[in-house]
Amino acid sequence: MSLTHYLVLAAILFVIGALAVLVRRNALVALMGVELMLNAGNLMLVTFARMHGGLEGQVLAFFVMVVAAAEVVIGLAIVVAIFRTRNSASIDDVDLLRN
Amino acid sequence: MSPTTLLAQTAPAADFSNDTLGVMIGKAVAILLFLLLSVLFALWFERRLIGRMQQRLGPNVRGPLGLAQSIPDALKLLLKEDITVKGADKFIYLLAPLISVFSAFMVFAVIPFGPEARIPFTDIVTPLQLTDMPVAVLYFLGITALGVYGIVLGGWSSGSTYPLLGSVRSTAQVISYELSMSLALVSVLIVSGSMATSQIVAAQETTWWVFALLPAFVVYFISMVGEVNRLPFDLPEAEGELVGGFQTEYSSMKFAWYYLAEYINMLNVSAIMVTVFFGGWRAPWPLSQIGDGMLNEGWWPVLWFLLKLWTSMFVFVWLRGTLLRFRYDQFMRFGWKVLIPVALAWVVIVAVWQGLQQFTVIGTYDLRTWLFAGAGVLLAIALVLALLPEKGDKGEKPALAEHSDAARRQQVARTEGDQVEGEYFDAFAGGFPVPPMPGQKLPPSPRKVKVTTPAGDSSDAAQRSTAGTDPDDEAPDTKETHDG
Amino acid sequence: MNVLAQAGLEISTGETVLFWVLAPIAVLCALSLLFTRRPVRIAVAMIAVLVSLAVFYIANEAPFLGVAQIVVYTGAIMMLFLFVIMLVGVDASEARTERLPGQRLIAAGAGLGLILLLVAVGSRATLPQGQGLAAANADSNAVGVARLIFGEYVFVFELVAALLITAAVGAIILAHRERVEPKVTQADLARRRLADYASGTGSVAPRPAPGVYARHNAADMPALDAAGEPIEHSITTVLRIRGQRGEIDTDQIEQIEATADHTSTKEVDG
Repeated sequence: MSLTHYLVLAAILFVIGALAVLVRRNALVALMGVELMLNAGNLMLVTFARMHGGLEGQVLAFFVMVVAAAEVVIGLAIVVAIFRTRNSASIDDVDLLRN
Repeated sequence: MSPTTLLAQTAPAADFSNDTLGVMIGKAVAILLFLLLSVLFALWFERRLIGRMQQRLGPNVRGPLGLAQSIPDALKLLLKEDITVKGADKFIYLLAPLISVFSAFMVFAVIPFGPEARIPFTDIVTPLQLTDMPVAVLYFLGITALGVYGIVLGGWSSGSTYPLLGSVRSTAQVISYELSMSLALVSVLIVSGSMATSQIVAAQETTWWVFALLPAFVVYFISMVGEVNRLPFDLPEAEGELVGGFQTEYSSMKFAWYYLAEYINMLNVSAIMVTVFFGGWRAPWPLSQIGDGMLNEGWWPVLWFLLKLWTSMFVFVWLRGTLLRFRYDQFMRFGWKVLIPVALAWVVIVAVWQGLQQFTVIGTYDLRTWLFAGAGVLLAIALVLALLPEKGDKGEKPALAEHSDAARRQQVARTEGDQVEGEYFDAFAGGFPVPPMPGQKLPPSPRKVKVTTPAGDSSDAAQRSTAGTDPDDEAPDTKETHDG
Repeated sequence: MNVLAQAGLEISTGETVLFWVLAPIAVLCALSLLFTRRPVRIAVAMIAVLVSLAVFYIANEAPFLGVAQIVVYTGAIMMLFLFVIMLVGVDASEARTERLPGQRLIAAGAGLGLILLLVAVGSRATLPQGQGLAAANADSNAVGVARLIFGEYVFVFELVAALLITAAVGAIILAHRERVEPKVTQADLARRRLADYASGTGSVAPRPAPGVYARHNAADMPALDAAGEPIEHSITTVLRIRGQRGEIDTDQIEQIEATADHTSTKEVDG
């Protein structure tokens, strides 16, 4: 067991999150994928902070958390707004600009 | 070194370095037993008190004063048939009450019951607290946030309408009330200079924060009642509207877990309130002076802590016996438009004050005077603005189209009734009967005229009946006819 | 890796055990983002991932961040997700058809590529020896982090605060709906009900409950009036519009009537 294990775990979670964004059609699940990616990044930052013996990484992770909160708030508001007009939470149905 | 750290270092923290694993397990078991027994006692306590408030006795058969009543009740609940709803999402349906009850048990880990004390029959000296951490108050907020998932998921997974409505309500409730709760706690954290519960208690050696930070306490108190879903904020389980809310489809053991969690949560928020605002385990003022603080040492503090805790529980029951449930929109409006702004403003005030006390080295006095002057000017402006008449706030309320005419006529009739002396209120002005508003007079009851006429002069009787049109006056007459 | 372990930082057995218990759980739960269909289940799995990440933060000597993670993510963000999931329809599971042909395959390839890239970069990187945070956390972790946030990074902090406020205002604007009709208050409803009553079309009393004469718990059975006729408005409007009104079993009613007659005659006899 070493700190590298945390980095590997973070990498795995990041890839899963990225895949969820690419594959899933439900807007909510895609947003959760983004959250997972941000969290994986946070885990890396925290691990690096421990590795380097400074708290800067934790501070950055804290800021990432706040930005993630802002992103989710706006993302969910958009989902709700789209759901009201088109009655669907699927990314595929938002295609007015297609063709 | 910055002043913040100075403050943090002056307050002594609880020292857990001597605790062995055995001591910690012992403490954990003690907390578990304390919580379970407290819940059994709380059930009896609540039923007896509510009974007193409703002028009846409450349970008084099993055991002395009915104290043992909770035990057969609990056994009965556990022996009921355990029903799993057909449309339920089985896994989450089972998981939800577990989340509720586990997170309820976790909060007391950071509650200090007392200072360092010697455990009887041993040489072990240890703080009467399972553990403490530099972020204990945040830990409490996080755990309560986690506990709400029990309610939200339980309501959803039942696959039924009323529970779903209950859980949607509870989500909105928690998001809004947890916010004001944290804001109220933030001002305490600022003045205590720490988030560790033992240090917050230590910081209240001279003044309890309830006196110094009264607005924060009021906000915390209201939000804590909202947080644990008790009357008047029990909207997620409002039995008059939602059957049982999120727990409608639960029975037997799973229901018992919710029930347990609800009561432990009451103890949790009360304990946090006592710790953060009421000096934790410290003896109340006159007692704390006795014998050079003798009552703040050893095992005495546990007694003070428990007394404060159960006073808070009493207030919970008292509220339940007194208040009616809020309507949902009133409740949300209150949370967002009153509690959160008040809490926010108070945090800013406390932060500015604390900042001035700690960080201004030169010209402190001048700066403060300026601020006081500024605050005075602002207050004066606010006062003037409040006294200025608002324009166009009357008659703007939109009424339903088809009834607006009727409503207006009725309003006109009401105002006329108010102004013109001796004219009666026309109950049918709006097209349907309505009761009179305060200050409006009903025409004399025809029945009363009939009853009193034979007794004497007709004009005299008419006068009498005009004077006494309120129901109290009329009551004896009707009573007589009923009796006869 | 062994080089790391030999450095100043020693990782306790407890942490190792914690990691090997929680990491698989976190990965399994995260995988449900890809393979589970019901959004609520995904949200629950996400909560598990986030809580285990919080535990990892605490294990990594970041207790403030760990608890903040629980407060922010489980207390606010995931709660918001659940709220929206319940708002937009709980079982809105997505269509299985692919809009872009072969998207899943391409995505899988991209994921594999990403893993390869990360492994390649990670293996080439020279990681410093773990130092631990004992020195940085001397005045407790919260104080250390606060000193950085309100000291060196105070401008970033204010920027982030501005961002958060902008986001809140933006969300309010996005979710705001213009009110086109006057708001119907409780008083208006009561007034309308009484007006209906006065004009003879409605009743002030609540509607009769359904299924009074049914022998089972039936919300779809209309109540019967004294003459034995069904009262249609005793069933909820939803069931009536859906056409799910139950059929009244006349035999059963006769049976009940017979029993009722029987008991009443019995009473007369007694």
